[in-house]
Formats: sequence, structure tokens, C-alpha cells
Amino acid sequence: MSTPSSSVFSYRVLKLKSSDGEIFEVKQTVAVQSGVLKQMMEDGCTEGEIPLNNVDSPTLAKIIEWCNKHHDDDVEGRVLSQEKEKEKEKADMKRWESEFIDALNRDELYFLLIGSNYMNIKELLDCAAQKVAGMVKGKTPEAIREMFNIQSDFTEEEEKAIRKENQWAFN
Amino acid sequence: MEDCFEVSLQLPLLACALENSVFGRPSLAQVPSIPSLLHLFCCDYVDINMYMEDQEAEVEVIVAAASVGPIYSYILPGKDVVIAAETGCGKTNSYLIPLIDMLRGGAVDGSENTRMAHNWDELPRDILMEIAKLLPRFEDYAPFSGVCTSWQSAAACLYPIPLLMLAPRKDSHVLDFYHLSDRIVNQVSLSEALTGKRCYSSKGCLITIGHDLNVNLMHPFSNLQHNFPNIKTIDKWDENYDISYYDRFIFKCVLSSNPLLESDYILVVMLGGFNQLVYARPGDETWTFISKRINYSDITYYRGQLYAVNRVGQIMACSIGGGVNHSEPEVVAELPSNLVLNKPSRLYIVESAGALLIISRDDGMEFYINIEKGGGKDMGIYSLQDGSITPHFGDKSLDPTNPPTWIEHGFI
Repeated sequence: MSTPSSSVFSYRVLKLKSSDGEIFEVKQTVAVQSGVLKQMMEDGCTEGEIPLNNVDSPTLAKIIEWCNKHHDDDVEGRVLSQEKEKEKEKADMKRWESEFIDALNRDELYFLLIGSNYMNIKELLDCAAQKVAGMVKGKTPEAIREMFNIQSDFTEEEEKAIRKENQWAFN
Repeated sequence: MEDCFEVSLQLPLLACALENSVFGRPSLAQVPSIPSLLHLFCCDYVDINMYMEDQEAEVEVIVAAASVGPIYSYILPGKDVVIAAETGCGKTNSYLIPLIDMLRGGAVDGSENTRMAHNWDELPRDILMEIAKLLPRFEDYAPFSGVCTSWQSAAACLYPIPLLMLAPRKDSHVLDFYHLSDRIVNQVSLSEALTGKRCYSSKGCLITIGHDLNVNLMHPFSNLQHNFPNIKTIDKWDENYDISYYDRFIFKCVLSSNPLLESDYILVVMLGGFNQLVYARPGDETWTFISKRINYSDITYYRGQLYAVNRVGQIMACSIGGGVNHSEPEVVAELPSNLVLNKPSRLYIVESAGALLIISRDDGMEFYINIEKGGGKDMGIYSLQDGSITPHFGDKSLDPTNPPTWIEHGFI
């Protein structure tokens, strides 16, 4: 006869608490994509709620969405697919990733960078950083500042040097 | 926004404001609707600049309908807003939105951002470095560095070390630059191929000499290009020189300053053969001798002065460049003779960690021009502990005239 606790054990979940107090339940097999959570699991300290003080609930929801998509539930049980199929899967994933990232507004992207860095999810951080790098490409410092609402904190002299250096930039 | 509001409700000041609202306490039906007013309840925006006669004010009319944007995006910029929506949805309480905003430290500023203040200049350095690493083209580094100090220092963390310019591809405008730190090769497209030219590097620039002995300067990551006089314009040019050895007329080039930053810079060239020193400014007609002395061994710029070391270990300095007329190099130091006698060593003068050093190395100048495949030897890091050498590049990159060359980082 199975006890309630045994059924809980069959799909271990972690309870993640966002900075604004919302609880998210995530399967261990999914959470393992986060370097921080993986380490905590290895150290056996994932009982109760895990506070993620740097990640708010909308961001955490996004991060979990990403991790769920990148988690292959049944790797062992699946028949090895053909090379062609694998290629297609890879391309599908790439497309999903870029759609996922492109749908974010500037703030969501910012919080995703912070969150994925905090939780140490390398692939997601790379993907978000790639997006920012693409946004910066071919732009002048002024245009980048405007895009990200950044105030220059250079001295007047440094500012002059930057302008000089960039006056030769390719267009 | 829902969570924003829940958090706000915990603030005594706001709770108090709600209690004592001049509009009266929100009804039980209204309280739960406030979060939805802020977030879920989206509104369509009907007409800008409607004139309200009795208040003599231009207002925007907003009608609860389609999901165009949350209502706070109209209220927060300080516009006058008329809201039409069904009873009990919390229209009245929307006057509290600016207050919530204020209490939360400007969290809801009405534009795209709906959460805490976001400061892209305060991104942790490791994230900024991740971004800088992924910049698609090397020429995007200068603008990236120019955004603000935190972005600049993140970019500087990545490339404090010189780049290795690999042997040019045959007849191609594309140059390959190898980045030591993350072992990747970056391509840069030049305006013309380097075929038939010998390259030298200084302060991030490439100085080239062609079959016709014309000298040019260019910056590989920008469109800066300057012409220098033909080498034949040096005083007492002998027409008997065999110019098919165009790659041997220049031994080394040094720039007085970064041409991207200073338009008034000079190019000092140590000629091959007698190893004499000449200089020119961009656009000059001829090269000018710095001194008629021969047998210089190496030159460098250090703190605005040109320093040179000759074959017998004399270290000389002279002021040149920056609009100053040059003076004959003066001997400022001499190497102890026992260090110089070790022939066939060559003396080099280099700056490292702010100090000028003299290096003596047993080497002969190697030319690869007669080797069909060309030449180019890799360097590496020597471990004092176990004597092993970790190569920098690890692969082969060979060329008869332009073996792999180190390019200094030209940026600030």
C-alpha cells in the first residue's frame, strides 16, 4: 500500500520562492539546469522553500518556461532519432529560443539577464546576452545609451576621446 | 502589477491613504479590482486632445475595451485622463496609481517598464562581459566601451592583451584576428587585400609597404587611412637598391600616439640595412632623418619620447612628435659591456608594467620570402614550474611576407 509520501517522492519538486513571495514548483530534473539549484540538490539542502531574492515572479516564470522547454523528459526511453530528425529538432529549438527572447521587452530582458546569471543557467544567459550584443551591433555609444536609457558617466575629456575614437567607425 | 499592488498594500502609508481616501473607502467589490485596474484591465485609447469645455483642459479619453495597454501607462506620464468603465471596477481608485508609484520608488513609470527601476549601467560586470564577448564584430568594441564606465571596464577586462593577426588569405580583403582569451578567430574586412604588401603594427594600426615602396597606414577596425611618403624619398636614395626586396626596407615602425585619438602624430621608421631612423607625418612629401647614426637595434615610444637602443648597448632618447621639432638622440644610459658582447644577440627595448626594459635575444632576422609555404612560428606561455610551453595559437598560419603579427589594442 502506497503512502502519500511515496507518491511525492516519485516526482521530486523544488519549491522556488520569488523575491515577491510567489512559490513556483519545479521538477528536480528541470531545476538541475540551474547551476545554483544543482549545487543545492547535491548538498541536500532543498527542503522547504528556496528563496530567490534576485528573481521576481514574472522573471522566474519566464526562466521556468525556458527550463521546461529545454528539459528532455524522457531521454533514456526514447529511440535514438535519425540524424536528420536531430537536426530538425535543433533548428526548432533555435527558432523557439529566438522567439522566446525576441518577445521580451527591454525590462524583461534585463531581469532575465540578472536572473539567469543569479541562478547560473548558462544557456539562457548566453541567449539573453546574445540578444543584447545583437542590439548593440553597429550602433554609436549615443544610440546605445538612448536604447538602454543609460547616462554617460565619463568626464568631458573622456567623452571627447570617445567621440574621436568613434568618428572613424565603419558605417 | 498584481504583486506590485499586494506589496504596496503592506505599506502603512498606502493602507492609510486607502482608509482615509477623500473618495471614501473603496467598496469590498472595488478592493480586489484595483490590481486588475492596474494590470489586467486594459484599455483602448479613443481620442487624444479632446477639449473639455467646463474644465478648459485637453484630456485623453480612455475607454475600457481592447487590450492595448494597461491604464497606468496613460496616467503616469501625468496626462489628464477620463476613464469610462463598468461600475465597481475601481475607476476612482486609479488616482492612487501615482501614489503607489511614488511609494515604490518610481517602480511604475508608465512606459514599458512595469517593475523595479532598471539600470543597464549597473549590470554586474560578469553579465556585461558575457555580452561584450558575444559582440558580432570586433569593431563594435569601441562603441560598446564608449557607453559608460562600467561597460568600458567590462570590455577592457576582455581584451587587455594584443590580438594575433594571422597570415593574410590569398587575394582576400578579409583579415583573421585571433583572440587569445577565448581562442576564437574574428574576421575583419579591409578596403583592399594585403597581397604584395609587408605589414607592420603599432598602436593598433597596420603600416604597409608595397612593391612600389609606397607606405600607408590603416586601422583594421575603423576606416582610418593615411598615406606616407614613398621610401625612395629618403635623402641620398641610391637607385641601385634592389627594390624587389621591398619587404626588407623597413625593419620596424612605431607611432608617437594613437592616430584615432591624435591627428598630429608621427611615424618613426627604422630602416633595414643600415638600421637608420627616419620619420614623417601623415601627408608629408619626404622622410626626414632623425639621426645619421647607423646600427640602431630597436626603438619604442615611452612617455612621449622616442627611445632607441643600438647594437653596442647605448640607450638613446629624443623628443619627437606632437609638433616638437626633433633633437639629435642623446645617450641616456649604456648597458654594461659584458652584456653586449654576447653576439649574435640582438637588443630590444620594451615597455612592461610602466618600466622600460632591454632584452637581449639570440636571434637572426628571418625572412620567409624564399620559402614557398612561407613562415611564422607560434609563441606560447612557458611554465617555470614544469618547463612546458602552452602554445597561443596552436595551429599553423604561414606566409612568406606577413607571418602572424601581434596587434596592440588601439582602444583607450
